[in-house]
Amino acid sequence: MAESYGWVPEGVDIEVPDASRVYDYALGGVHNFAVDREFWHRAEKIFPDARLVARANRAFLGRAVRWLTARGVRQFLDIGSGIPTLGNVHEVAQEADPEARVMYVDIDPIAVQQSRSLLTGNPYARVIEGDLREPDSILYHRDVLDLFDFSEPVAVLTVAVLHFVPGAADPAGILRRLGEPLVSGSHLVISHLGPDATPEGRAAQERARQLYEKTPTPVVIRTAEQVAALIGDEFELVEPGVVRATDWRPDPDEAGDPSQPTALVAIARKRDA
Amino acid sequence: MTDLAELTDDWLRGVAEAGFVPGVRARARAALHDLLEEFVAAVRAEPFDPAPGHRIGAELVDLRMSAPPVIGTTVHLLAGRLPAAIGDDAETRTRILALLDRLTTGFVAAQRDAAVRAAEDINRSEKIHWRSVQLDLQRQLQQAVLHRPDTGLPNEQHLRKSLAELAGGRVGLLLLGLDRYDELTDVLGHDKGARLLTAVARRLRPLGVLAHPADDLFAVLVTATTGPDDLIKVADQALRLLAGPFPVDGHSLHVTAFAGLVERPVRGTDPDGWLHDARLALRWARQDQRGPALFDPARAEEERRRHRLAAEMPGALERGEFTLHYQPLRRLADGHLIGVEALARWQRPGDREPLPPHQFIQVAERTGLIRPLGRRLLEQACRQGAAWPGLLISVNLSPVQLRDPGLVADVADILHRTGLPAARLQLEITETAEVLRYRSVLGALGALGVRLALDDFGTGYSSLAVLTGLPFAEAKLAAEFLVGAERRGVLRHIIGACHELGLTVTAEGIETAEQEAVLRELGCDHGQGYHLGRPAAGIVGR
Repeated sequence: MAESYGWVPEGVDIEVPDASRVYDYALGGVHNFAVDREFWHRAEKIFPDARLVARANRAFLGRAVRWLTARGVRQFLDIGSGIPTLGNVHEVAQEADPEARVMYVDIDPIAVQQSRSLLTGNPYARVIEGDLREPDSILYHRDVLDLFDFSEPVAVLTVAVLHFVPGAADPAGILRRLGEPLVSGSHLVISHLGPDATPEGRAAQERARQLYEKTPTPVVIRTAEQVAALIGDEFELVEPGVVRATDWRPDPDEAGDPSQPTALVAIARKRDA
Repeated sequence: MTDLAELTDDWLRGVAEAGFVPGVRARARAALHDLLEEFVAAVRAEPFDPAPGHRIGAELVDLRMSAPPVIGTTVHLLAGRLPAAIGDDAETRTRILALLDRLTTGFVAAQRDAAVRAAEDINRSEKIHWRSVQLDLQRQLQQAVLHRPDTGLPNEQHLRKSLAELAGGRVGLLLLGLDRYDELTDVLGHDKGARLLTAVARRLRPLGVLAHPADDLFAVLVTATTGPDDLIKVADQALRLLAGPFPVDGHSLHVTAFAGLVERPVRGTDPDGWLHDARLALRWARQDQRGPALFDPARAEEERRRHRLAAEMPGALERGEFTLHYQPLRRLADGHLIGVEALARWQRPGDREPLPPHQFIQVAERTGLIRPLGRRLLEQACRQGAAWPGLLISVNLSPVQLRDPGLVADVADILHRTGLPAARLQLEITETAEVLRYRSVLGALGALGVRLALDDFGTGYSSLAVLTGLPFAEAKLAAEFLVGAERRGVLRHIIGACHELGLTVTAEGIETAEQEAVLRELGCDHGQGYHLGRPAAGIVGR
């Protein structure tokens, strides 16, 4: 390691920016390293709206979970939960019902461990290490089977994570597989990077995307139609469909927030059998 | 208060622009409104104390309104617009600035605490993660260390561990050795060998707890046995399972397996003994070629004894612990002493009685020590015999010695050095099929003038016809012939036939006067046995 941070033991790679740590920093979190912050500053310089996109995403996550709890959903599978940063799903869900179940899943073992220590003492919120590209290993994980009642609706959250899954890894197939064991009334929650509205914006966005090529998690940008196509027939889109994050059932209080075209979101409900 | 509400809205807007605000906006607004009221209350408090500013700053961080621009927005807003809302006098302005001063400190301190806590947290998480990675590695390593890479079965170390951890009751350990596995891999290559092993493992799987302690060795651990029969059944089943051909890459491979078995109570058994004893039993199975061999403590003890003797023997030879006893050979017609048979004895230090030959000669034959030992004893006998004029000195020769190309020269040399006339030396050679292969050696010995006697005649392999071509002068009849009157006719014929072939006949093992009388009557020439004289260090009476 070229640089010593004293409190960082061997084994954590602080030379390569990590998507979850970058996201944490973008939201104002402190669980990040210099390399992540520097990466974010470069991304922001190229694509000044990046911070707002991250924030719009996170705000949508909060609204989505509140909306779902209002509709009686009490089980949440948050895949790609990242660093336990501001506005966690369990905080929102358990505000509505202290016994709401939340299972966090992340591919990064350190994020998983941090979530674990954060969740100590919370019997209904847990975390496992898992890879979205292997949905069965998540669905049939012992802890998941233990925590969830699959005869009741489950909300599967893939927030700001599907754009890290290339077409070759069959994101539609992954969502189909995740949806299969769920009862009707279950939901899929998706947020995904979309193309910017203007040619200049798209050019800037493309440069930022190229920046992500250097991280372990390159990004795929998909249009609203492409995002909609990822959702299978077993699910129907909830109004207002695939829209900008800031346009999905906005909180009247947030009406003044700037619209973010590149954060596409949707919630879909599993049809009645 | 509408002014305060408006100020709260502006504050929230500023905070929301500065960074992500978790939760519902309305709640954030209510929280900021509360803070603002606290702030105003502090401005108006008498006597004035700026301390609450610190708490309000920390509270902002707690509400996760912790982005750096939040503090700028807050100071700017409250310093600039609060006086207009609550009283635009110099004292109020001073108090507001003092509170903002503390608020900034509180915000920054809380922000720093949060960052340090996060650092500790990430550090601890990483450490825990790292420890679990190490544990995983250790587990994998242990898996690798305790299992065979080819079949994935527990290896010898693992098996030993399992055996050491046995709790109680009776247990059976079955070792299956594949015959000539090495040859197979030499011919077919290691890949096919490994595939064969995998196939063998698959076939044995139904038998229970399997292990694979060596390439050509599989083990089955059978717990809660009630006796050896339980294990023998498993062994039979195993051998049946391995009997069919193994198709490997278009080859149809046949495997011959041997089974060594140990079955006994766990209590009182040395855990290391299981595998050792099973290997021993497996060796017996290979040697005897008679199906599964069950470990037998008596046989094992006998083998251990032989091994101890074999190890002691070279030193004993150097120390001169091997001596000879002499047993009289008498002419049956008149009881006259015509010679002696020299019998090897091993006087081990600490033993009261010397060991008789049947307890160590075979061991010496197996280790090859019989050659120097035989030479030494022959020389001793000849030297002694030279001092006993007129007597025949009969010395045993092992078939192993016959194989020694230097034998004839050694005998000639010894005769020369001891001065014993060749005609007074008789070499006794046990009748075995092997002897017949050394026709030329026997001829050369005969040519030296030495008498050759065929020992234990009648128990072995030679037909009378074979004897005609060999230079034997004497046949020594096995003691077995002397038992039972019904053999008398056979005995008479044999003695007659020997005489026809020009052989004199000595009967061994004569223990009674009656036997002596019968043999004399049948025309047997010489006799030997306890009745005619026991072996002794010298000659006791003539």
